[in-house]
Amino acid sequence: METTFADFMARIDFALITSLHIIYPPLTIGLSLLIFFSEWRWLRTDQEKWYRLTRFFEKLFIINFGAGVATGVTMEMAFGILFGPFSTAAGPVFGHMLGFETITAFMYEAGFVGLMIFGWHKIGRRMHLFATFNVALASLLSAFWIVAANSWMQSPAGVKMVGGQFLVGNWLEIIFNPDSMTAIPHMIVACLELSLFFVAAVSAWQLLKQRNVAVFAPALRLVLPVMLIVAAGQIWIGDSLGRTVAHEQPAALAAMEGHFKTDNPDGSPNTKWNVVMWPNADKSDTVWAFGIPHVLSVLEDHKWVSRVPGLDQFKPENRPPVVVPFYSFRVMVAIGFALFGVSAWGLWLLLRGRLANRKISDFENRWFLRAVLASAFLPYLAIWTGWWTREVARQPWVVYGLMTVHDGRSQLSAAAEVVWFIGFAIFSFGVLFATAYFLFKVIAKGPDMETKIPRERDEDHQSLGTLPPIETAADAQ
Amino acid sequence: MQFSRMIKTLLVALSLMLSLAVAPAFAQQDAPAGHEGVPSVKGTQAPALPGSGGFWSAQSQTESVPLSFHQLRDKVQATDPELSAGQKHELLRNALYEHNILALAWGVALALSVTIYLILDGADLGAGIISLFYGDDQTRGAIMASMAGTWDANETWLVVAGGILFGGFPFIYGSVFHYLMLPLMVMLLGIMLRAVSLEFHHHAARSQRFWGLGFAAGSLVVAFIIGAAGGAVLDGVQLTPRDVTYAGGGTVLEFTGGVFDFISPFSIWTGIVGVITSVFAGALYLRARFVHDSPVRTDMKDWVNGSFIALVIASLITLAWIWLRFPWAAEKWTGPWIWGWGVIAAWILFTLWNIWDSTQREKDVAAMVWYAVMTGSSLGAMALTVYPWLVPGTWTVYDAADPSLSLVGFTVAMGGFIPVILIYNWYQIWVFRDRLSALGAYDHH
Repeated sequence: METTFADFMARIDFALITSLHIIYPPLTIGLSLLIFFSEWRWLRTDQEKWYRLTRFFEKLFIINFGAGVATGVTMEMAFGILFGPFSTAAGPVFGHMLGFETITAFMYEAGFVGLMIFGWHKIGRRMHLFATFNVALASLLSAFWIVAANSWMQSPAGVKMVGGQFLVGNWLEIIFNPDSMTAIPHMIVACLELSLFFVAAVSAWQLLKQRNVAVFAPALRLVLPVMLIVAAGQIWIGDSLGRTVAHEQPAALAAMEGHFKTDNPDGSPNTKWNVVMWPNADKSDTVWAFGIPHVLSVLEDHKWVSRVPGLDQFKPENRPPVVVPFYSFRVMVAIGFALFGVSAWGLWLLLRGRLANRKISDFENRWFLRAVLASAFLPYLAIWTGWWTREVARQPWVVYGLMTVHDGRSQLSAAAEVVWFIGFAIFSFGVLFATAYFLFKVIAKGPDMETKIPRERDEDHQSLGTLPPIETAADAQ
Repeated sequence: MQFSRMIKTLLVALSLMLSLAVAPAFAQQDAPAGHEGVPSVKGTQAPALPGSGGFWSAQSQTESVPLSFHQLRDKVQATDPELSAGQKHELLRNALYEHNILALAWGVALALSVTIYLILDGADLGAGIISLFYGDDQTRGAIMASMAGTWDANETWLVVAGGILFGGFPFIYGSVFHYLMLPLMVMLLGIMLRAVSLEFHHHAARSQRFWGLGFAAGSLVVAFIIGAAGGAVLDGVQLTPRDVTYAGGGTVLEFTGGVFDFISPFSIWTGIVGVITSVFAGALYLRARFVHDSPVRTDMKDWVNGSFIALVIASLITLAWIWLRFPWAAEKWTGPWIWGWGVIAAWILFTLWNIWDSTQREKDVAAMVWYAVMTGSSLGAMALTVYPWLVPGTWTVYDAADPSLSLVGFTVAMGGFIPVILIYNWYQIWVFRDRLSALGAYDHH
């Protein structure tokens, strides 16, 4: 099987649109949950800070959501366009899962997002909370379906292969395939972790500027303990996923760990875990490496000595690229621990009482707040590198072990694929920069502390001729 | 509110149509069927004669291998030479009955989502195109604000249609989308531009004009491409067989042509028709969306009249062109059901008259609802003309369907969720029902 430039471009085209889409949904998913919590607190306690937080983060939410929808519609259709034979072969399984996602989650979410953002003062407070709840639930469902579909491509279970197609054998086996059982929690927790750090960083920025302390200090104090639990949980789930990959996709794991030789020259298992390395051209060994013995078997098997299959166990044409999975994986893991460290730091300060409203913006806290601010970008990078690890390490397969990318891609000319790349690179990066710009703009402006707080039973249909307050406030500048 | 009542009626009618599509699938539960809901036979063993019960009972006790529509047909025809043609036909018919009913039901669901998408988003796209002709950003901003709460949900019907097509008709998804690579790519970029422009316009200060133009240009591109892609699909797609070794091996049909193959005078023309239709829908929408004395609504009177006439003329040209270009269409229209086509034509003319009458009597919402009925009827008539093909000359609705379609999947997706979606879509439209004033929308400036 030959890998051509067109095969490579087909992968790069898809990598471009997925990488520039995955930036947005995690924040949508996690933030909608946090907004729901905040709005629920507001309804229960009637404290103004919860309302201001809800409305402020909702503004950020919708900017991010719009970009997510704009880049997401492309994804679905790109399967048919760029990977036609794959779509035909896997449509009965994979296509239906995307279809279930659009019907049970995407549509559901879009319907309630309109109410959530523009429904203030038009629908009752409880109805609004219900809308927020549905947005959060729908976005969780969406993550479930999408990762389940991707996981099926990683560990294709429950299908019957007939006439060049993957047909549905057992839906439960397909959806709850070995990979999805850890990949779905890993992604959902990543979304939550990203959103918690996002909220923490936005709060930290406001606190560094000593603005709206009464609103953002409680927000930061609230998310810090959750951050610690979530960051720790994510490390544990990540380890489970690593072991799933070791079991389901041994070649992928070998690439992620830069593990070439199964055995040492003396016949004993090679348990060396490479911290850094560089592979040679035919992916048969490292050019140089620095490794620690026994760590690999401890990591993958939780044993002092065990045999972990290296890349030498796989035919050269079935060996994935090594550099990208190896280094992406390390960056992701490092970020996972860094985020845990920042959360632990914060909790320590919290327990020592240094994050009280009147102390939180003190000089001695500045480095902590700056660290929180900087760590908002890390989860984004971790999600990118995590997906790059996952998708590059399973090459050359599009359906793991069953169908190669070469077989699965549309027979487009390399020129057409380059045109696609240029077109989407311009637009997707344009969307990214504009989204970042408007997010920063709204964050810099801070929450609107002036507008009327909606009360029960004062929905006013007559005043609907004007735009809802959220826009009024933004445009008044 | 008259508006809410009429929208409600429309949605109830749509849900009824949908349940009619689902009903036969439910009725099918009693029919003999493979336990996977898939026509299947055991390995290479020849199926027993119908009536002995062997054909279905044998496979339900052993591990069954589901077969695709074509494979099953070949298998049955190649089996026992003693079988009479009638018996083979009977066997085949029973085996394919459930598959075909489900394929048709998915086809109806697909047609419904496409229709709902074109009706709902067509108006948004048209309003966007009209906003190109407003040089001032205030009016354009008001037009954009008018759809702020609903455009997103409207557009998701396109994604739903894509999902149904991907899972339900993977053969089309994998071959025709490749044929439409270039137009779909441009459409996706247009959708992207339009979506972010709608969001960012509200937040922008200095760049409002840029986002307004992005919204308008994106709308124009999307409307044109949808029309052009529709025309290109009516032309049919040339596919090449390729032997593959993955997934059990077999022969798959794939598109191997160039990215410009979709361009023809006809597809360009249907693109233009797409723009004209959207403009008309958009003008009707803006009439209904703005307060009675607003300048936008007054301007739209001429737009409605002009685009109505353009739409009628364009439809006649399109009909004539289809008649001349596609023998299958002419054959069907002049066939034994000619009186039926006459009734449909009369009904569409009646809806057109009602649109015109409603606009002239300033019944904005009624005009929109009649427009929706007219669009639904026209697309339905086109679907009947194309039937049994989904892509004329390339894929029938039965051949293109997933061979392992199951009742469970359809029932969960269509019976369970689509009605729920329709209910909350209706609720959402109802919440955002009131008219806007262009000035009111921006009175804080």
